[in-house]
Amino acid sequence: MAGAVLNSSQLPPGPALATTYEGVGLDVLERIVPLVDYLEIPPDSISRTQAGRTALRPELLDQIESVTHQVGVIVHGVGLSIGSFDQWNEPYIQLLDEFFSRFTPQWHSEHLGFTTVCGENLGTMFALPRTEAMLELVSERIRRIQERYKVPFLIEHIIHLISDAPADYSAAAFINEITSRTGCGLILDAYNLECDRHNFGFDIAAFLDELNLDPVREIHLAGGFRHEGVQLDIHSQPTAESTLDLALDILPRCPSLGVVTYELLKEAIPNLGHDGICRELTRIRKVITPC
Amino acid sequence: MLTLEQQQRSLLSMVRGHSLKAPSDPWLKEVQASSGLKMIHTIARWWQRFQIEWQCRYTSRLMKRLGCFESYLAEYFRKHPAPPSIEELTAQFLASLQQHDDPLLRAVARLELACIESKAAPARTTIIFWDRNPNQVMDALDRFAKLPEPEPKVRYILRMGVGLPNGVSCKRQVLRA
Repeated sequence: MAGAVLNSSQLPPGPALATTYEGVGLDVLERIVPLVDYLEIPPDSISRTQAGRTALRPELLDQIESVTHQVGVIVHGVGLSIGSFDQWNEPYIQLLDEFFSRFTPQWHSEHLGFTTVCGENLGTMFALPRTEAMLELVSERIRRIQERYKVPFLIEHIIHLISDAPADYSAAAFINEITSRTGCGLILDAYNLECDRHNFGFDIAAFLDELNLDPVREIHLAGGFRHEGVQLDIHSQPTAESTLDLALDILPRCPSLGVVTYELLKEAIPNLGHDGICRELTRIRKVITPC
Repeated sequence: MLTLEQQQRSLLSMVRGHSLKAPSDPWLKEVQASSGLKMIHTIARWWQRFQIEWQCRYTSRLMKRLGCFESYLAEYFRKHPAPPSIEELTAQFLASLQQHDDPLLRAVARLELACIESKAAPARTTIIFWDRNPNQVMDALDRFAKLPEPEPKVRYILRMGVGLPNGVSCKRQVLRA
């Protein structure tokens, strides 16, 4: 099994740096590996469905394995649909099983949302209603995941495109309940927070003041764009200065922080270019590394 | 207050583009009228369109030339719920084009569908009829060049399968009147 956990002597001062790798090709991999400490692997993106069965693509697993002596691996899923009322997405669990049979990631994570209802894909991810019923459902599923995989599991808040359903908890209190009931870790996404501020007037300062930041292990950075005045969670750009500033404000408040991840969709690579991605990683490394 | 099931089933229905008849729940009423719901539709269509362009490169290029890409895509996704995987999405989309009126579009879509199917069932042999030289068609689509004209009273028979040399063969056949 590939050792995907770096030891402390391999890590730089300050948080480690990660970036997304969706199996786009060795040319990209060879450029980014020297610049990061971890690769963020979305299992959904390195899988293929054939004859109704979804499996990881062996050639991409080989690619990842070929660099695990240089970088660690963290897993970040999109397809679990942890908040679907009926069931989570079982094929995603099979992908995780397959990945864990070959690698030991530092941790794995998923979004606090749902993408499928009754097995049908919604084409987007919806935020969870912050109710007691949802809290119980998600907490129970997180416990099942924690029992199944023996590395830490992290959850990430997502952006909202529609207004919140009637809630029993504030945004921060809902997450606090999940982390305290299950002991799971947390990803704070600075860009998601900015999107919600722009689109719904979300009070980031109040959210952060109420949120228990002890479980935060990872901070996400990304850049997106506006469409018809809406700031979208489509990771296609370099990180805005405001997002970096927000992350720098959060960083020292998170005692368990280990990794800062620059997220980029594979579809954006042609626009940004390999040089552009490398410049962005170098820029972020410089910003998050203490003088 | 709605149960989780009621909430999520209602959202699914709205995402499918079905309007809820006079929802009594104030939140659903608000969501149904919101610009956010329209944005969700837009984003979902972007992704689906992107996947089709990415995975069905030649078919989508030909459809754009024929001027039917946008309208067909909109109609297709209005009628068909999106399956969870990209491979299923593209295979179903290409299969739907087998009913299209344009014979060249049917042939190109069948070719791309055969390429996808060959990964799952490599032993299967596919036969595709063309009204013009398929090699020239694919080359023109690849280079964004002018498409060859159909050849009257001629058809090309393209066979794809593991039993063939290089996995493919093509024969030009003159049709008798």
